[in-house]
Amino acid sequence: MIEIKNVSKSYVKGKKSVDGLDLEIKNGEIFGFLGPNGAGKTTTIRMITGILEPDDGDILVDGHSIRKEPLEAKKNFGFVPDSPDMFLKLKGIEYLNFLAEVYKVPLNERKERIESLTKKFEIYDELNNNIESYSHGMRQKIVICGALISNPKNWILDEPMTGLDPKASFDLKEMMRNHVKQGNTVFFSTHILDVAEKLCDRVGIINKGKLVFVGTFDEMKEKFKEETSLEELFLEITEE
Amino acid sequence: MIKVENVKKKFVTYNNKKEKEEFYANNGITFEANDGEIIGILGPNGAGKTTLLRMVAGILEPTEGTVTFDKLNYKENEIEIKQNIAYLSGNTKLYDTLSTYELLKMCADIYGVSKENAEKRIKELSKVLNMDSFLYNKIANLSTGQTQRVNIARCLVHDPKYYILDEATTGLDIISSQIILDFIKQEKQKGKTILYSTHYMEEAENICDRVIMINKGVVINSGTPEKIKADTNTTNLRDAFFAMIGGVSNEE
Amino acid sequence: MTFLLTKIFLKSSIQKMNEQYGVSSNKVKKLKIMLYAFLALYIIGIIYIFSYNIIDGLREINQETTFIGLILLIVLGFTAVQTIFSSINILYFTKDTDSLLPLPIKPYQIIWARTNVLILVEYFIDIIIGLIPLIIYGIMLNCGTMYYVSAVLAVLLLPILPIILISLIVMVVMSFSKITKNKNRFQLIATLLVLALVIAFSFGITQLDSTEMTDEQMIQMITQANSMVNMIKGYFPTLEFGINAVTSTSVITTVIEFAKLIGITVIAFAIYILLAQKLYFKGLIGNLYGGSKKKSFNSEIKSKRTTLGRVYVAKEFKTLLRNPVYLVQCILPAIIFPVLCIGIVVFGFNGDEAQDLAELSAMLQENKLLLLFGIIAINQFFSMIIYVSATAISRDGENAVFMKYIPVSLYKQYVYKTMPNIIMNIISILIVLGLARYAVEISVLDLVIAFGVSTIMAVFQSFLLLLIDLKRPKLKWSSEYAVVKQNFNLIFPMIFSFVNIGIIVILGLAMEEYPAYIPVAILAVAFMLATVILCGYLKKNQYKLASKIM
Repeated sequence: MIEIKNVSKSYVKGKKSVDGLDLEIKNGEIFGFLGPNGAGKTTTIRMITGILEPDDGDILVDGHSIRKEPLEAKKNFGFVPDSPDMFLKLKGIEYLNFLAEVYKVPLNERKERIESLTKKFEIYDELNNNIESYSHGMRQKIVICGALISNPKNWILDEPMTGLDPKASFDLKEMMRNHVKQGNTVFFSTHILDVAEKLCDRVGIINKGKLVFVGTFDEMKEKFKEETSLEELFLEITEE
Repeated sequence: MIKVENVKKKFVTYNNKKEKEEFYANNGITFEANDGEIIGILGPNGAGKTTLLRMVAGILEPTEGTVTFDKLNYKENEIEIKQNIAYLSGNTKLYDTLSTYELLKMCADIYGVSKENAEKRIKELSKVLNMDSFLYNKIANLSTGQTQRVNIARCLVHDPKYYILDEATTGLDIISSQIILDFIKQEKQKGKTILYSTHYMEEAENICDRVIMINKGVVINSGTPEKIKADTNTTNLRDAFFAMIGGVSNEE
Repeated sequence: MTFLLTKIFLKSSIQKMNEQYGVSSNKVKKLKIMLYAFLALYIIGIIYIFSYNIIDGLREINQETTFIGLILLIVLGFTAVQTIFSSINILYFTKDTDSLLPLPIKPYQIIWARTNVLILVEYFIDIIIGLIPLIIYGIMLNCGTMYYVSAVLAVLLLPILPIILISLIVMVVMSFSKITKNKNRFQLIATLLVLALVIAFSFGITQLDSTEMTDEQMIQMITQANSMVNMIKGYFPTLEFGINAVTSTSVITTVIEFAKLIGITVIAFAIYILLAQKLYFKGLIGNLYGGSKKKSFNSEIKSKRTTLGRVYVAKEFKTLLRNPVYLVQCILPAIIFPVLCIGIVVFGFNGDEAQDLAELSAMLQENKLLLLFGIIAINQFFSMIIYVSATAISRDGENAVFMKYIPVSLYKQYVYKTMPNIIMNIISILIVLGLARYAVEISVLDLVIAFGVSTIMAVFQSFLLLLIDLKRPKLKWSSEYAVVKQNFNLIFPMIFSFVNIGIIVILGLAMEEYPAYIPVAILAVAFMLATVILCGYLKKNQYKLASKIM
């Protein structure tokens, strides 16, 4: 569970990038976070993961405050950033071993987890090569594997589908659904409305730092009561 | 019209044991693209889409088979064909100390476009692709979406007839994607022949007249989206694809 | 079209070089220009001295024309060696190839334009090592305009043949191998080779300096040089034409010789373009697009006991060692610099100087304070170029935020990130101690003390540099060179070293009269305290300090 309580952040005095954001992502749901570029999505995610400190408000991950108990909070989520170009000089396996150590994955479980994750995403064969030699899609996959290796309760993903081929995309979505079925949480931001509609239990739309809508897609269509396409609906919401 | 006939491409690699291995990235691909048509090239990573498009663009030579453009072929008319092609692959920042305008000007020079035509064309492209706001900015400072639009513009300065677009919208935000897709639809109206490869099945369904589905170097199905969906008894291209490769597909 | 392409390629080559050698903010730019200007003057100065001496000596035995042959030969030699690297770089390692291939450009135009760039880049060096000595010659021997014109023409024309020959060989090799897969490794080897050459050259120069040549030795050298020139003339007729053209006094001969030179060069160039068309693209495309399918991962997944600290520091080292830029800029200097400096001093001593060394050794035995503080100060001096802590955060670039979202305390990560710097310092200290032990008599106890105190100071420095990088990290870069070259933070290691040396000197002078171990102890305790306070500060403010990382 992720609770965002009245969080604000300004980079420049007087202009709030995120303004009084109040949001609760419940256990057992896949939550989609949408919004145009510059709306405050990335800033929000950075505050949830502890990269940025909110000016006001607080964020709780499974009850642990990211401000007061950062280490506890961070143990409870796995994060996939939007740029997968990480530690390019490490081999895939070295990267995963490193993360396994960071998240204190029990020794006797590491091998099995690494194998099952990397085989599922079909990068097992590449583990001995430098991440530098991976294509964008493969880099994305290794970062996802790394984030999931500790089996965290909360998954936070920033544009995870970018660069994934259809099969990997499909597999990831399936994993997300299975994960929340066990009572866990998935929070992700995306540009692809289609995916959001089919995958998310609820969505939140942020525009100019404020949350302009939270709810299911059906509720969204209800509220705006038009038979327009998703894109048009979205553009309309964010025009206001 | 672009005609691709039984095109194959063989690569020789060395595996871990340093033994020579051959594999066919494309193993007998045939299709046609008519003027004013958008043909989608779909398939997973490693299917051979990029190799195919490189051969159509004249960068790679087919091991077997031919590629013809209205009866012209690469062996005899290479320059003429290339003068009429727009090829876009990936999302690279090229010569990024130049401004958008300077880069377009440079490409116009390479294509031998006259000065006045170049000016006109650059203005036109800038308007249609919404680049006016950053036309004079350095490419190094542009966002991914903006850079991709510049990439598209630079392969169109010479007003070619054939468009070969390899994953033009991968990784782009929704607004940039939409601008590019709308643009492609417009170009089709002008009678251009467009080959468009993508990961996003929804996009393909949206803009393509016909679709070629490739897996492991061969064509597994082709035709209009409707025909393919009917063939596989599915309601969208994504499910159709998985049905054909035998993967599980349940989106519900 | 070829001309246009040449312009474009040249621009992008210069851009690449700028990236490598750092062109940054205006302040630093001016400093850099001044530095390069000094360097240029210095080099010209050396060339002048050499040329003058040699020409003078030759004049006495009426062999001055040999000089011309020698210089032109050197130009050929330099060109040949340099082309091996620059041809691979310019022909195969540029990023724009992908975009060029689908354009309506004829293959020969691309090759021609790229070769032009090779030649133009080569001229840069050739003008310095070729034209300048020839001009000096002209001034000294009062030559007429024709001489100068011929000299310029010769320097411009001669390199072309070796360039195209070597490029052709490179193309043949590249069409069979997959060198481009190891672009980084290649550049690393190239840099190391150049370094080795520079070291060898400096050793060589120190040798030359110290010996005075008698007339006999001069004549011997000349004969050797002459025979070398004659031998090469045999393989490279153009060299002969060039020499003849420049040395002859009759206009007609000069014109004829140049005609021959130009003739051969043009024909060779034409053949080159024809052949290159077939060879170049085969290698280029094969290397760019060869489908690569590396096979199975047979390695065991590690399940052995280890600690986070070990893993984290290992990760830092892997990034440092596997990245050629960081390896050459951050790691190697720590090892090469002390070896070079002390090595030259210690091993360069022969004959009378060995005596000096013995006297030095005796003196140091008497003045233990000088001995200990001397070694410690030297260690501080060499730590000046260890750029590991100072770039610990910046090296991660946009990825640095990783530190903030993993469940590991920031303070611990600061410590882990500082360890590599400390370790490199220790290596440097050990090298210095080893060489010092070789040169002078030092007791084991003193060695240990020197080691201990130097290390304590290094620890403090390392943390301090990390603090600097935390306060002003450079996270947005597209090439690693920006971190190690265009980075203002790199001034700090130097500043701190000098400040520390200052402290050592002042303390040493102030406490001259005391038994040596007391000021040493004071130094040690002071820095230990400083380290403890600094670490305390880092721990208390760990989150605030990371606020620039986002």
